[in-house]
Amino acid sequence: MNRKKQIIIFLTLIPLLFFSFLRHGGYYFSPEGVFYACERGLQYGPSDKIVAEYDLSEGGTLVVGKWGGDLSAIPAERAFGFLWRLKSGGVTGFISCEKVVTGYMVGEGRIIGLAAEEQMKEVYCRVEYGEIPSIQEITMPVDEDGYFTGIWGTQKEEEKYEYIAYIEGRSAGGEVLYRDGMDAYGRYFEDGVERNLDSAGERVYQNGKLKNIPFANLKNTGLATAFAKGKI
Amino acid sequence: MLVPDWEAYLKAVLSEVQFKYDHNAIYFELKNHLEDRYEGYVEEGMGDEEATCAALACMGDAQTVGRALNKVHLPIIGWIWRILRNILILFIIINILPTLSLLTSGFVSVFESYENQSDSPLVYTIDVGHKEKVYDTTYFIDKILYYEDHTLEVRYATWTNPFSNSIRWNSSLSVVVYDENGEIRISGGGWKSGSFYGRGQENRKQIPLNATKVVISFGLKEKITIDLTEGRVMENES
Repeated sequence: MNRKKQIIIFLTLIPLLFFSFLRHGGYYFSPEGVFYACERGLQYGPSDKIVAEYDLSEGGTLVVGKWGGDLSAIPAERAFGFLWRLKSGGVTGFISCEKVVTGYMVGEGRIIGLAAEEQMKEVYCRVEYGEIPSIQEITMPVDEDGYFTGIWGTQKEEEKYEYIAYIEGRSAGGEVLYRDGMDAYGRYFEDGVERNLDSAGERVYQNGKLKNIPFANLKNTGLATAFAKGKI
Repeated sequence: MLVPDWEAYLKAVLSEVQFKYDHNAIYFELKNHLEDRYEGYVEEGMGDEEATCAALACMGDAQTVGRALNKVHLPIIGWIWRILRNILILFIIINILPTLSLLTSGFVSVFESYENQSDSPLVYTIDVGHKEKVYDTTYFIDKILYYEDHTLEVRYATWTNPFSNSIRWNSSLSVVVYDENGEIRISGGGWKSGSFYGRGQENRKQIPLNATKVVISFGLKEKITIDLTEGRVMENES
């Protein structure tokens, strides 16, 4: 067989083998390709829109998409210099946003979330972290998709107990339209509805660990919220 | 037999061929050809020197042969051929492991069989035979079995196209059982093997005989309901 014929055979086989390599290795030409393929694999999506992409500190990109009223966050990393694959170390994937304002911590100190009401223009978040919680506050603008994001702080290994203790949706004028969690005054809200403080407090006392500590003393320490939400 | 030295002739031929990577192949091909001719002439009764001259004369002028070979072994075609051949070899090598994986772990479940999830005798079975495609994975709900110790078992298989445009996850399903009072909140277990073709079993303990339906969820949103009151094949009747 002469070389020209062999070249034609090579040119036929190489794309097939390259395609096979991409498919079986999970390699794509862009982080967006990884994102959509991962969504299909996890059996949801495809996202209507990719709302943001962030560089990750250890290399790679976090792609965030909006699927209906929910979010999707999938990290991708470079491979062989020109391809992309799913980043090792865990995938957030689907983020259910059932509440009017939902915030979610995606690591590296970043919060992402959705505000379902159009008049909400900014979201305030209080993050508590550490074994004996410290507090970090952050206010984030809401874009036209209802999406918001911000860096609340630098995540450290010893602060692995971080969680969103309180979240607030505000109008352009600063009016609070929605609350969830325990606010700075110790009032507890569940998906916008204020709950009886005593009942939340009693749950703390019933837990047994901190029976002798008055509930009022727990306010703003983060423990009260954690107890009230059943996290401790 | 003394084999003549063809080096001078062969070097003269090769000096006309520009694509250096082919020199080795051309060299040995011509050399073998010359030796065959030479041996033929010797066997016909020629002397060594005469046979050598005849073999070389038969091959033709070195410059002419070299130029003809240079046309066949064009450097541009040679380079393209060489590069593509190396790429092909590379891709064959990097596809070996995934192919082995595809043939072994990917289809390991083809050779597996279901094992009863309870030692207790069977009460009834329901042949479901339901197929549900969710994105790139097709679920086959095979059978529901109910044991005397109140274990309810769902047997199923999954198939995902190895060339589908999705990152592969081990797709299992969730099973929730209901009776006339609503959902029966009870824990259970299960397993699923294989990646492209897989078999799986889910079991739920302490399910009453009068359970009315099973809701099987695939992925985030797809679900089917199977009526447990119909299609029962009672074991003591069969």
